[in-house]
Formats: sequence, C-alpha cells, structure tokens
Amino acid sequence: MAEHDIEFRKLPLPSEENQIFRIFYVIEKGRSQVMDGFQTMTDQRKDEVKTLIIKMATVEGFKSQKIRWRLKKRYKYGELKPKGHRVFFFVKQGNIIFFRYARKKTDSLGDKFYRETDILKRRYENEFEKKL
Amino acid sequence: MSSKKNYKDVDKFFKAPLTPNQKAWMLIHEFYHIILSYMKENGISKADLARKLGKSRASVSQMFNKTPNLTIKKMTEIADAVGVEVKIKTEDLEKKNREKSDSYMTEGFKTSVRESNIRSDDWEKSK
Repeated sequence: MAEHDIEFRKLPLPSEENQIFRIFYVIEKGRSQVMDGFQTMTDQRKDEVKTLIIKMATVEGFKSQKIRWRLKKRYKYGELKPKGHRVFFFVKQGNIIFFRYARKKTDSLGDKFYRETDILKRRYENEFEKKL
Repeated sequence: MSSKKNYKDVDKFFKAPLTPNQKAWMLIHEFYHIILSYMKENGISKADLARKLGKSRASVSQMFNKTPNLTIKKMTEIADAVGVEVKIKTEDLEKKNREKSDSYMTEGFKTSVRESNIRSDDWEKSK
C-alpha cells in the first residue's frame, strides 16, 4: 500500500446476522485516527462504543443520547459521543464509515474543527465512492 | 512520519462474543432506544420527563449518560414517567414455549384429522 493510500477496513462484529449496515474505518498512511483514539479509551468506554456500533449496524435509526446521526444542518456527518471522546462517521449506501476521532475536554469543539471534519469527510466519501 | 499499524487487536476485540459487561450495555442501549423512540412518537420532551420525575433537566440528561449500572428501579421510574411498561423476557424460553405449543398444535391437528377420518368412514359405511 502506498503511503498516501486510503484504506477502508471492514470492522468485524460478533455476528453478521441482522446487520443492516456494514461498518468501516479509515486507515490513511497506515494509521487509523479512529482506532488510535479508540485504543486510548478505558475498558468501560470501549465496551460502550463496541455495543453502540453493534446497535447502529443492526437497528435502523437507532436512537441514543450518545449518537448524533447528523450534526448540524450544514454538515452531513454524525458523531458518537462517549464521555470525553468524539468519533465521527458518515453513512454511504448501507455503510457506516468511521473517519475521525477527537478527544473532547470542553463542552464544544470549535466551528473550525467541524469545518475541517467536513472537508475530511468529503475527501473520504469521494474515495469510498471510487471503491464501491 | 507515523509508523503503520495493523489494528488486528482492535478487530479481534470487536469480533469477539459479547462479555457480560457488553451485554449489559446492549440492554441499556436498547432501553434508551425504546424510551427515546416513544418520547419522540408521543411528543414528550426531556423537560416533560424531568417534570414527571421531579428532577432537573440536567439530571435527566445525566441519567441518559449512565454506565450500565442503571438500577431496575430507576429504569422502571423512567419507563413509568414516559408511559412504557418494562418486561423481562428471554428469547430462549419463548422459543422453547413456541416449540412446545407448535407440537401441541400438530398433535391437535393429527387428532382432528383422525376424527375426521373416522367420521368419513362412518359416512362411507352409511352409504
């Protein structure tokens, strides 16, 4: 894999039964921001995130305080909100792609951050479409 | 330049069967999904829920962020306030009961077929 390559790796779940969305995470230049962030979480948070993702993959329009499917009207991406962490994703043709991670210490990440995330999302979305 | 990682340990963690703690999280997620869906359908806001529970809106929001240690009592209080009845059921037991009732049905069907055959024999004899 070339250094600049972007890989969308399928996240395996305990069972593919009842799965309505496939889950992917982005690996760029050999690193996944999402999974590097995930590895910094406590065991309790890891369990919470794993089970939230399973629910997202198996329940249409799954509702939780910890999930925003679409952030603001102008941004077409969502976030997982386990305490102290933010994991960003977008949905594309029956696939959920996790592409960015941020540590969250204050109440809100700035607008600049969300704009940057949106640019990143569009780039990954284009790459994902090419691989579909 | 960042070094490459293969993330096999992460994949293994996600692929592994659910631990008891993860199963508890699944139940909590399911519970809040039901509550939030019901609230949305019935136009109940978090402020309404807070009023019914006699709590502040902030403490209701905090409640939704609990770890899997949400007590059954608290769960029932929330469900009551929203108007949802919480029941515990196990699919294994239900499956067994369904199988049992299916086998009764089959037996019943066989009996009724036998009876119907007897009746047809009687009818044949009477001809």
